[in-house]
Amino acid sequence: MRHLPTLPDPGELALPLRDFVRGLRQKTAPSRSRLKPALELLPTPLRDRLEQIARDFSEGEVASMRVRNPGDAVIARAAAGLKGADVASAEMAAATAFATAVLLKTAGKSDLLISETVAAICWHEARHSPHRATTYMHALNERELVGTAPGLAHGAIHLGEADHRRIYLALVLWLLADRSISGVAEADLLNISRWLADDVADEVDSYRHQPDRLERLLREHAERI
Amino acid sequence: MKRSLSLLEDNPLPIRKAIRRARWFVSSFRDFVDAVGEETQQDFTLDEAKLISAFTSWYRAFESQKDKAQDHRLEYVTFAAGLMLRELIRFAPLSAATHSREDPDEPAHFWPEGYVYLSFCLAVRAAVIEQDFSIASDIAPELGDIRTWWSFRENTFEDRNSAIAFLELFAGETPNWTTPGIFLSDNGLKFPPASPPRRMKSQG
Repeated sequence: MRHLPTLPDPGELALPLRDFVRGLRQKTAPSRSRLKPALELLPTPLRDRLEQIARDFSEGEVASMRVRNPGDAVIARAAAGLKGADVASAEMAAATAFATAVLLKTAGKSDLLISETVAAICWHEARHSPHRATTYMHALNERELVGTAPGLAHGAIHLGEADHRRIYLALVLWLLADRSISGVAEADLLNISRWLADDVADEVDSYRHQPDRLERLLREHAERI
Repeated sequence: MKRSLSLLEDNPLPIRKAIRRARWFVSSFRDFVDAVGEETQQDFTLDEAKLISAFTSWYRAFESQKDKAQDHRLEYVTFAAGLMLRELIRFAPLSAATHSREDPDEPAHFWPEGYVYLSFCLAVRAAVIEQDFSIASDIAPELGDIRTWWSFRENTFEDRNSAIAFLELFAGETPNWTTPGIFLSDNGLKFPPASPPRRMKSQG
């Protein structure tokens, strides 16, 4: 008997393929919130059974879509990259995707798709800029690092414009944070960056057309982490 | 309570610098709350987002007057601890659960959140002074006086800046009741002469 092919782990694929598989999984995973109105029309036993199937499927798919932690060494190289060092686009994309996944999970938006290809393109733009952090943050926002797979309705998993900006601000602050002293988990640094981003978002926004000033401001805020 | 500042004391950075990093501020405050909760048999809920807001606001206030402290570093440590207390009270990151066996005449039970904020700021101040100036800090007798705590809570709710003067009082220094939010270092006069706080309530 022939087995149907299964979708590979996205982490094992090259960048565009990873995005493709994640998008496909997002598109095929039935969200319980989207099924709910239809399920309410069904008799209870049938509804319970279908809800269980949807839950099992959804949890399994979301787990397999999870972005991997690229490890401290890759994160450290990506962080150094934002401050001027050389870093491969794939490593910057991996660190970016990991942090964004954590930030989205905290915001209850784990269903959204993160494109490592977009992150790599944004980094390609930013790496030649004298204001790497600012340019990278703006590029992530403009090119939409986070979104839904083509063909999906936004609906319940929509992320507002301000939320997008705060996630990229938190991400950049996290990358700029000092890592010369160990002892604090990356998850804690990310949490602090998220709270700090909430706190300074308006100030950062007011300097969005002054890249020199904004770059300094981002570094100053990151020094506090 | 000193042991609960071990994250700061074991840090490779001097305490005065480590406390200005959110990661150490948050983690040491978190540990401190646990220690006080255990000691006073109280449960606290900590809102870490509010704690970061308090930290950010304190950091800005600290930086804005730092230049005036060049020749008065020791005094500025106490003033900075007062600023920290002001921001913790303003953003109120802690909520204490109530217990039936509370003793309202004990400061820790009379105002549990304020007790933690004040104890933390005094502990940080003491640790910095000990590390940088090799001076051991004493605790002022007012710290256990419930009438002073009545005034402390009432005054700081009306005027947040008075928290700075109360910290100076609890630290055994001469409080600046007139302009507590401004670090005075001109003409060698660190703090003006003591006078009663404007809204200090007398307890019968």
